Amino acid sequence: MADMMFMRSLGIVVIAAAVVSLLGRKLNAPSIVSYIVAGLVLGPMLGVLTPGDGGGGVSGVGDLELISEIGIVLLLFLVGLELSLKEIRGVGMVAVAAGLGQVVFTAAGGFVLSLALGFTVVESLFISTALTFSSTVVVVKVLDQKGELKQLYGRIAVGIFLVQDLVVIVVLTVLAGLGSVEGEAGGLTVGSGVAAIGKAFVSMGGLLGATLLFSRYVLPGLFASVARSAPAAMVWSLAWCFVLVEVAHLLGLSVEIGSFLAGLSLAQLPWRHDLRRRVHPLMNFFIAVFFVTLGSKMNFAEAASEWEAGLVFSLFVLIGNPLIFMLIITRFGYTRRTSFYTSVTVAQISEFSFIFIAMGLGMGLIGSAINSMVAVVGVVTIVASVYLIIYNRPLFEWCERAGLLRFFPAASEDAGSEHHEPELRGHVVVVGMNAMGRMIAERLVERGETVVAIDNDAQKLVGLRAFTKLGDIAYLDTLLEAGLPSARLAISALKIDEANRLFTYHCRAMGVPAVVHGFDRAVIRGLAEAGPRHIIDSKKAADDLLEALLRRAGVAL
Amino acid sequence: MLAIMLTMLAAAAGLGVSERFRVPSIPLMIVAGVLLGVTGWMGGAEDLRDILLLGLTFVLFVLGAELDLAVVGDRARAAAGFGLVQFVLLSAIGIGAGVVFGFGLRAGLYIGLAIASSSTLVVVTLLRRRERFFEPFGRMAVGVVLLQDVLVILLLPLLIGVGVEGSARGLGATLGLIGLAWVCKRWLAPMLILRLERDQETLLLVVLATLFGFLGLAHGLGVPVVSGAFLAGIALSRFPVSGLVRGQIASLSDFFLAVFFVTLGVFLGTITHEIDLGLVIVHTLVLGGAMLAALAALAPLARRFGLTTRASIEITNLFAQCGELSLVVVLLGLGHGHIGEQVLGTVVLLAVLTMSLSPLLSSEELTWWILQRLPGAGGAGGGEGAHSGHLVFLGCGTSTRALIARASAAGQAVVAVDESPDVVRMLRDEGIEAIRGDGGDPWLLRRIGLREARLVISTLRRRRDNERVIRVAGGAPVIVRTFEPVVGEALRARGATVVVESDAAADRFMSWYEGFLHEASADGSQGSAERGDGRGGSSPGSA
Repeated sequence: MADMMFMRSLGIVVIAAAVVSLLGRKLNAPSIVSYIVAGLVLGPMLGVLTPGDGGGGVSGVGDLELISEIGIVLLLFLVGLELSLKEIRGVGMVAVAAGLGQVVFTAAGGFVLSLALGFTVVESLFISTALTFSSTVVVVKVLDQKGELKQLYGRIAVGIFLVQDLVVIVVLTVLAGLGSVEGEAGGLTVGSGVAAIGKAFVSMGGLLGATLLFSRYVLPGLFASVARSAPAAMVWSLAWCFVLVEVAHLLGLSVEIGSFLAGLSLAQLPWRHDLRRRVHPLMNFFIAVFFVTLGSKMNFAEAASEWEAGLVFSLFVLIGNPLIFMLIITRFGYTRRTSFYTSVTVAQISEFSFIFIAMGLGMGLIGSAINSMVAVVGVVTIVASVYLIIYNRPLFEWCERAGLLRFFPAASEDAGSEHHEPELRGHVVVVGMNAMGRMIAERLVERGETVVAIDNDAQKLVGLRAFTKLGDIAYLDTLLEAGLPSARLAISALKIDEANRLFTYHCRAMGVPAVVHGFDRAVIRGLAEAGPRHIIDSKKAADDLLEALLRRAGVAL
Repeated sequence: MLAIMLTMLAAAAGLGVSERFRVPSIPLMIVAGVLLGVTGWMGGAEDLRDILLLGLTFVLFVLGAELDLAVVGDRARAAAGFGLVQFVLLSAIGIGAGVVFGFGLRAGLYIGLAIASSSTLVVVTLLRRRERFFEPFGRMAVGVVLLQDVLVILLLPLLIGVGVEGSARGLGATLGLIGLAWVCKRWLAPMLILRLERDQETLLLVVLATLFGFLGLAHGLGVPVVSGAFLAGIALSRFPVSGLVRGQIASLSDFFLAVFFVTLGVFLGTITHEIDLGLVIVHTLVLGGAMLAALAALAPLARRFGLTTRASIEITNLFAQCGELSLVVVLLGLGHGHIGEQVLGTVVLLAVLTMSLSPLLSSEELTWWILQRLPGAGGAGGGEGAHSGHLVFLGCGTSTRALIARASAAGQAVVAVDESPDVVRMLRDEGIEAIRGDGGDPWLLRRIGLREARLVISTLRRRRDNERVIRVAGGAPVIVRTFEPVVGEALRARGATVVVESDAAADRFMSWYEGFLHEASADGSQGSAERGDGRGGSSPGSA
């Protein structure tokens, strides 16, 4: 069969990620940290994974590059799905100002700091560029895990990262130009820089416009034909996502921008929540590979020689970057809390930083000690910033109490509004809108109950007077989003045995009484073992009516 | 990334056509892949092998994880008997074909194993869609596909292993892995996975680590990695682990299945120049014809295993296809250099054709058409006029049987028809006239004197069967039990009295609910307080 090297590399990465995650759970470590640690163990520590392609019995991360890249695509696709254009537009101004402002200030600050630490001008250029950009993937992954992408600070952060993504493209283009002309003419670099900026913004504008037109006039009709089959709809959506990624690539934009726009363009479809739940496990798999390989690629060989500088730069990114952001964002009418939450999201360097440094190393403009130093800064800032984002609330309270934030002007209320989903309590969840499920849902509504009806076929939810949720209960999130833990009762009318048993299992785990459909004698015993509060034996109910009819017809029974 | 885009586009095209025309998506995705492969945009065949292997392992993993013997229940023996005979017969045809077509014995063995295996995915999807999963026919069909899956996994190492010693070692290692899978299924997986219920990210990684762990072990022990993937699935197939795992791998399997089938098609598309297409078509048609003939000959055997004539035709037609495991078998054969592209092309074309035709072949219309043309159809029995003024029960489920017993005990003449031999035996034990047969069969209905019946009670599931019952009954009153209100309306319009199961069940539930509320309020007023909270402030209607 085929060469097993790829499967071997993937297997090692997945098993290491699982083992470290399980251990990390004991220490309450966020998944990203576990993945990066797994990567550090596999790469720099054990040498099981090498940065390039595999060979000679050693697995290489080069084989996994596509998997990692798909992880980023899916992550940004999910972010797009989560947000609507309106929500992004609302934070557009602050995102542009903060995104660009921070780039300028951090680059300048980093440059001066590098010079002060004794690096040459060219080295300082590379170092400051590497320190400038924050990692979209890290931040979005943590926000997604926290369920706070839709919060105001989450949206501002996403906007900032998109702006920075454009800047990254420009910088990459300029650096590539710098490489090709080997740094000979500054005028040429400026010219190519202006051209690159123009091209990036025109491409971005064109792609955004085309995507919006598609989203409005083409996609709803196109996707209507597969809307009733969730797996088909998922494959269609992913196909659309990869088309936009490829178009973005052709236009010289990043895969992040392409996939984000793909998600955004599908965000108005009625089944977007179901799609999000389906793509989520897929993204989790691919992104885990991304982070583990990221960790494994770190090269600390000469880190010891520049450890002091590494420490200084780490502190600069961890403290300096958020400070710059606080100064900018608070000027846009946001509260100190929102500004603070947004600011701590940028306290790390990006995976692009490693690419810049690798380019500089490749061109012979910087030494490998700087490469190792940036790896240290990367690991320190990514890990620390993950904790900063996760614990942003207590950290803010502490800073506020200590009076550290009093220098920042702040509004008493945010310029944008936070989202508040209506909270359900004491309601009844009814799953499976077949004839029986619909009838039960309607009768409960008539009785005055608050009902959430769930089905994975949008057409079956049409015309119901209950709250409706499109989704598959194989995904726990569907039940959680229907407020199952706070429901008074949960009913499944489905005629799928294992789904009913799983439903009962989840309900019991959440302490909610479950009622399930015993649609066939063959399944009732197995269902009873799962422990529902009640089983609806629909055939028995009908046969009791049948008996009454027979009696009425004069049949002796 | 371009390759992924093209793959997803091809999969989307296949799925789109599948949705539009209600045919299985697998053959369409393969065809879309072939068309893509012919264009040459996807690069050479060598580049595809990694992704093909990854897709392949997911296909097998999903098959293993879906393996649930509990569904088969009391049909296990029948499924084992029928499945085994069918497996042996089709394998023999495949081996014979391999030799006759000049591919040699070894290639024949691969062809035999490939055509003896049907598509679990297609069979399960069709049974679910037609709501026939829990009928005796459905459970037997599930039993047969599961048996086929297990046999293929056990026999693959024998085929791939070189020499007697290699084969024996392969089989021994497979049995060792089966033991490990069993230990995981019984103890390890529940212990680990149930703790991770709410930590879905770690849960997913542990599931995938199990898969890769088994793959690594299989590879190390010289067992085909596909067997490792299948056994990893089995290790996670015990409820409730299986349910939690499904939530994590459902979309991964949708994604990787699409990638696998398209890539397989692309792979074929890139090697078309090495295939004599005319010969492939001829071989496919001959092999397909032999398969159909053999299966038709098996219909009487299915009847002996307790199915009605109609169900026997349905089950043999349902299995007239080769599926995803067939593709796995020939891919492995090609990978090991045991078969050539010609054999691969033949089996893939056969799989594409038979899977595409599967919904048609197993359709109610075709089954009925064949049934009417069987020797003895329409003439069986005679015996009209032997009954009159009796009650006829068509379909005798558990609660209906209680009614039948009471009516009979009250001195009412009763004739009961059911397709399950066990049910018929139980009724006969109680002294009730019970006939094993198809309640939708007009000749049988005439034979039991439907027109002369005092009352006909039908709990048959299929609408057309009930329409036939009403037609044959003429003026005799018919009561039909049906789940769907829409079907109820249609049957009512034809003159039947209808009991709608869903309405009756909803009524029954509502009375239970009143009791539940009462109980809850007696336990404490928490329930009513929560009800007040829940109703406030928001209006229903958003999807």
